[in-house]
Amino acid sequence: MRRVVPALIALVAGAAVLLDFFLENPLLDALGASLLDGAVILGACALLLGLVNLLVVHERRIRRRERGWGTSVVILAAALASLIVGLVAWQTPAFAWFYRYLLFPLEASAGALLAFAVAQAAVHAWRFGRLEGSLLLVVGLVVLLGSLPVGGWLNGLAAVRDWLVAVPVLAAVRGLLLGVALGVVATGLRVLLWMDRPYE
Amino acid sequence: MIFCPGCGTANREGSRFCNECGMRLVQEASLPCPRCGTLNPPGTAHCQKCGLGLARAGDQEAAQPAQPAPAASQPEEASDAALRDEGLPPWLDAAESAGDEELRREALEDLASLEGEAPVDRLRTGGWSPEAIPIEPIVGVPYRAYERLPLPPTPEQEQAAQLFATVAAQAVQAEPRQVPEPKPQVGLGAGPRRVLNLALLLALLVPILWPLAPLQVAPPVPAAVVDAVGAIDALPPGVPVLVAFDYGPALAGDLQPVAEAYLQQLIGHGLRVLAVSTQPEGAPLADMAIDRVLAAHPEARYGQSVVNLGYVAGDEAAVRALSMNVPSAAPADYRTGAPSTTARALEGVGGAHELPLIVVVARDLPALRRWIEQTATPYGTPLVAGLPAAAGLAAEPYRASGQLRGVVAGVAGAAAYQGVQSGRSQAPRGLAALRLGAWVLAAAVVAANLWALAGWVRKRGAA
Repeated sequence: MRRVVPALIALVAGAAVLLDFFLENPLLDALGASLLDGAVILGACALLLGLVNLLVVHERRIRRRERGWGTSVVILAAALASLIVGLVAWQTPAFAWFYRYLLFPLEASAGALLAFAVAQAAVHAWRFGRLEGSLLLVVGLVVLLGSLPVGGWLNGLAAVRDWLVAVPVLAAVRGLLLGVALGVVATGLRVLLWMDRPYE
Repeated sequence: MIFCPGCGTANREGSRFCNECGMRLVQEASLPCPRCGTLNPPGTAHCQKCGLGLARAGDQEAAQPAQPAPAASQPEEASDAALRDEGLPPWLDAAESAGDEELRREALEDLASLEGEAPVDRLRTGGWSPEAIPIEPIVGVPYRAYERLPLPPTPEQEQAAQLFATVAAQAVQAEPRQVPEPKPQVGLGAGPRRVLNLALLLALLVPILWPLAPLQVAPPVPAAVVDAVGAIDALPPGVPVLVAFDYGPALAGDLQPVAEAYLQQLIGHGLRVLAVSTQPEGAPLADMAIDRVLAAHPEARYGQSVVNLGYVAGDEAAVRALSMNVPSAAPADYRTGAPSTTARALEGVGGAHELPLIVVVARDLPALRRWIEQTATPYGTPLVAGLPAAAGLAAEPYRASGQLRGVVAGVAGAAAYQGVQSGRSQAPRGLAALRLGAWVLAAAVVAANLWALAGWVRKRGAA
């Protein structure tokens, strides 16, 4: 029974939403709409669950004085402060201040650091030697310099870059997307036919 | 109780064999210990269990006449008397060897010669006087292990012994073990890495602080950008358009200019903008973009021309819910908290699939694909997209198939978009920094390859 009930719920909900997508029926529309509302609520609850888990993990680390517990203190303080401000005064400038002057610069800085990591990876990976590496080197340089030309001979690179994007890159990405789409369909069917139970 | 001389197990009185190891307990002419009852093999000088001197005990029994035990009025006196009668305490007697007694006798004789007393008077039968302090320290007397009869080895012990014999019999390997060569270092070394990072940092900072004319060239306008501009220009004024801010602050540098460029054109054309986000961090970014655009368009009003509906949780479910009914999926105004149905910008709006256009500014292709799958493909809703520069190429199949009307990718795309919209070519400072950074990276890649090539030529020359 413990395995059958969740599987039944998943089957009924998935089939209802899928049929609602293809068929025009008022009953199905209403059922699909309420199931989607429930999914939206569950998504929000999952976010809340993630927050609670974060607080519990870091609280345990502080209590046991594990390695890196000082960082956990900062994390907890920042999370609780923004949570309290967001709950009490989310429409006031205080919450906007939290976002604009704390979260935004921190996340933007973390994203900017990726530029250096990507640059090092490119220097390491784009090596002349084997056929694949040489091809990657040539195409990478053409796309990199052709995307931001300043005139002169670099405009010729831009034309080559446009051809690369329009023909081989398009073909390859199309193939990737088809594969992803088939995989998504296969996974959905497996869940609907009880062959996979990711909720267990 | 009879104590086994082999393993020390206590056996019942009268047992002939030990219950634990099977050793024969009753032996002919065995010496029973008068104190603990252990049967000792013939010829044993001290009991194997308690250490009592068996010969001395025998002598004591034989030589000492039976003396009545002194009446001990207190338990301490009785125990002292018992000690004297029984001779050396077990722990002391066990530590003594034959030679020790001889040494002790000699030492006492020396003492007596000094004090004038006969040494024999100091020694009681049994060899111990409570008043006498042994000359040699107890700790100096070697401990004598009990004699122990050999036991047959257990099967496990035999196995271990055979294994040891096998290993010990193997010949020693004369050749040393091959140590594998250390693997070559993966990635750049610390020095080149620092140089690359410093060069990249300068390349990104210098054009922002000091404009460099050669870099301030407007980028070429891709066809995808022209199509995006055309899709918005074709809309009549006053119709609602949904704009999804599906990205976070990490990509705001790349996508906020794109979102603002879209908003500028939409509000400038008098269209109603419904801002929404399926990412938690997207709603405040939408607020920031709306504030900047409204500052440039004083005729537009929040609530009439544009409304921020905030975050809708659920990823695909959120997009599907918005596609079916926008006010139901996003019931509140993010900025004011009022019901979204009170906003004039939302008048007459049902499902997102009924809108004439949806603008999706997404952090990556999967975030964009949700909108394509839930709105553009099933309902044919026109869709234009904004993506980071790295993901712009991946959206080309959707544009080629008609599911996307236009794509604006990154800062360069936003600059081109604004150029098309305003009719003036312009290049923001960020674009100049991107250009210089791209050249520095390309130069680093070429330099690394030339260095590797030089190393290879050197190796071949040496070989």
